[in-house]
Amino acid sequence: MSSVPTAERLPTDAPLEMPEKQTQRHPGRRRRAALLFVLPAFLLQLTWGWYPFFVAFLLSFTDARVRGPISWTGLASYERILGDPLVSKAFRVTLQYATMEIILTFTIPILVAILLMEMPRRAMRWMMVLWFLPLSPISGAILWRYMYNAQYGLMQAIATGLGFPEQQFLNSEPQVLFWLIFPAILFYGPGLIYMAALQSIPQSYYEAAEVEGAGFWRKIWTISLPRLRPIIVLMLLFSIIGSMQQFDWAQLMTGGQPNGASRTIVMYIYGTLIPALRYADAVALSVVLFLVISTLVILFRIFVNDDPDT
Amino acid sequence: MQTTRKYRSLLTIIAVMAVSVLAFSITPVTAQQQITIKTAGQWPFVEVPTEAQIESDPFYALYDQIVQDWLAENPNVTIELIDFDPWNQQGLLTAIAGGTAPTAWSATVLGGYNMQNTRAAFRQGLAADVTELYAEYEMDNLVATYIQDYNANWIVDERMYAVPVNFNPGNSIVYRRDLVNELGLEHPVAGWTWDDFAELAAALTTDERWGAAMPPWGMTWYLRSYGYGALPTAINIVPDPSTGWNWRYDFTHDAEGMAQRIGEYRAMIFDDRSLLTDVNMFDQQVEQALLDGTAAMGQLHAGFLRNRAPGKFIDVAQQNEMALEEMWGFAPFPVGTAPEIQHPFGDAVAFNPDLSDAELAAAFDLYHYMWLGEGYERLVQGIYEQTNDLQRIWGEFPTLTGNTSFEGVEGGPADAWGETLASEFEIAANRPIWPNVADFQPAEANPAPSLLAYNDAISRWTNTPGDLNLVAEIAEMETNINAELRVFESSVADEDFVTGLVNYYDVLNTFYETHAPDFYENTWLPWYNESIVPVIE
Repeated sequence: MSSVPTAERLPTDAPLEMPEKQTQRHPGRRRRAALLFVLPAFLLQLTWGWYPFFVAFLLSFTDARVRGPISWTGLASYERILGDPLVSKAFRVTLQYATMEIILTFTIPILVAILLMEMPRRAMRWMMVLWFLPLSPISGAILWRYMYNAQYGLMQAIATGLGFPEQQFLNSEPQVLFWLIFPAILFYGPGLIYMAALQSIPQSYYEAAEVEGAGFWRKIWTISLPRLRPIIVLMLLFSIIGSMQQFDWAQLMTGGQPNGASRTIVMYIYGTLIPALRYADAVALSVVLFLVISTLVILFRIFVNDDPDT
Repeated sequence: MQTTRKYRSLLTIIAVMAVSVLAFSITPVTAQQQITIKTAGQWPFVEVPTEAQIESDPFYALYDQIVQDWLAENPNVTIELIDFDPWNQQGLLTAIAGGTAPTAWSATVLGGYNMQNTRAAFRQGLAADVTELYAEYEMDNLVATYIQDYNANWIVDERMYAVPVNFNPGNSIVYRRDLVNELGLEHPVAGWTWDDFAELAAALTTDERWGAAMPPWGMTWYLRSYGYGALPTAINIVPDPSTGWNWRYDFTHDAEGMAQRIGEYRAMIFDDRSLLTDVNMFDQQVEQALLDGTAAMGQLHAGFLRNRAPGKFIDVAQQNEMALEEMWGFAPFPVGTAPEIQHPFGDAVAFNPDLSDAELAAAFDLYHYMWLGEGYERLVQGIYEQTNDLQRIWGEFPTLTGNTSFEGVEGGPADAWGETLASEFEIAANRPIWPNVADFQPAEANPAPSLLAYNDAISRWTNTPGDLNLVAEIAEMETNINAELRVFESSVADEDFVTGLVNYYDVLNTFYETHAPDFYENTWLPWYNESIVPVIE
């Protein structure tokens, strides 16, 4: 027999009494225990997260040599990178890439998740396996690079087979960002999170809407999407942060070409500054990127409301 | 009670971890300090064959025996194989900073395979100074003259930071000699022009095959062949000590001429469709295009041609029942009006800057033994005794020492590669090395501009079909490059800069006058008198 009275057994006017736990007599000891258990993780984050960031920030004001004495150079690195026309170009490319990627790849997983929920369970499971399979992005990039080859790639064969003229794909300045993003449209990874959120919406909401005469799309617009708002806002925030740091696909598939049209800021740091041992400039540009992303995040939090009931 | 037990468990765990960390961080002091040579086990310094390799391949057994014999003569030295990728620049620099780098590595890895960056790395003390050791071993008496000419790349502020391990005839045009014979075309020879190249490429082009394949920076070579470019050897860069960086670019003074040359290269790609190129067409892709017949000629260096692995040039020739030189030719780069822009190059070994004097001496001695001394001679003779394979003996031809024969080896480079191909390697190896302005100036201590705007423009002109306003784009490129230069400050004092310039241009003028007298008189000298002389004077 439980020592804890439950709501079913108590008279409605009887006061609810909880047994006195031993730790409630020593709240300080409980707090100390909690702090001690959190301490290793905190120290880890401090040591390998915030400390390197702080030191890197200081290094951006020096000549950041790999060996030998380091000299203070003040704002020289910041002046160099902010006066470099290639940096502003890389920022433009980064913003274009992030905007295109969010527009093209953000909405489809939401729609797919909603539609999958309408399918029979067996079909839904198979579709989930196919679409949510964790594929390696690196091997995917290398594969797509060959598929985009203008001479013998599969995409060229499809394009010419459909009657289009020969395409430049990754060799085209105006189109290169689109073709870099295109494969990501087909990846529905975040859809799993949306599906989990959809499953938490009570069925009674949809039943009530049906009684009111709401059709399929109206139910999605008035029930599913509003209830998904917190998750959508969170995923959008992650997308903004991730897209602004885009590196691996462009690095593997184009190296920033043609004409720097696919060179993002992180690629400029990794592919140009670091091989030239310009570590101070690399750190300074990383700090600038951090400030840009932070600004975007703050603006996002100010202007975007994730409350599903508003 | 339960909370107390939790505390005790946690404190016990923390105490055990602390003791473990302390125990492993204490280094026991021994009576005699041993020297340990740490190696990643790969070329060029020093390979460590596995037991399986030693048992299965007589070459590795021989290599291992030679190394063991050296160790027997140096009993206080051990070789330790470490798990390390010696070809990754960032990994190497991180390891140097953290004190975990191997004893030695291929020198150009420090600069990401870029010579300017490698010299900057030397300037920052990222490789050991081997000047005294080089002199002590009288290396100039051991290495060939052409190696000594190239050694300037490893010298910064009169100190040497790497030692040579091989010599490559340089980038050339590898072409299908059998196809040229079959079609009755003229073979490329030293001094052939870009017009000859375009004609040959067009003649070799079919519906299934491009005449030639080039990496994405191929246009830079084409432009350099006519005196244009981003290097101080070009008629586009003006010394300007009044600026922070001491240089500025001037492409617009001859934008029409440069646009014409760009148009000629573009015509091969987009009009003739005889030149295959792509943003991802690097050396490996050019190699593959040649091997699978997608292209009939392409830019590669001799190392690719002499690769013995399955599916590479030697193997493909054998599959077609031809000797290597029957199927493949190795022609010098086409020339424009300027001297040939490709030249030989070599690799070198750089040593860990944190080595003690004794460790550096031991490592240097091992390098000398394996590459120039008794170890190398035994390896050559042993390989020949085991295999009778002259291609394995002369795989690095021209050699580090300039040898064209080895004691106990019956046959020279011509016997290994064929008279024609061996002669082509020699011709390529004797191409003049261009004077490098860095050899005449104090080493640059400050960060240098990337000049990425030039590479970006080249990429656009190479990959964008259709009509382009090249003159306007050249002007825009010039603006972008000069805008980048404005934010950089050179560490070289103006006086030293100008003094170095005088010496450099003396040598460069002689170089042009000797190797391309028409270019010197008609293109270079007018530019030099108008743009350079006022600065120097």
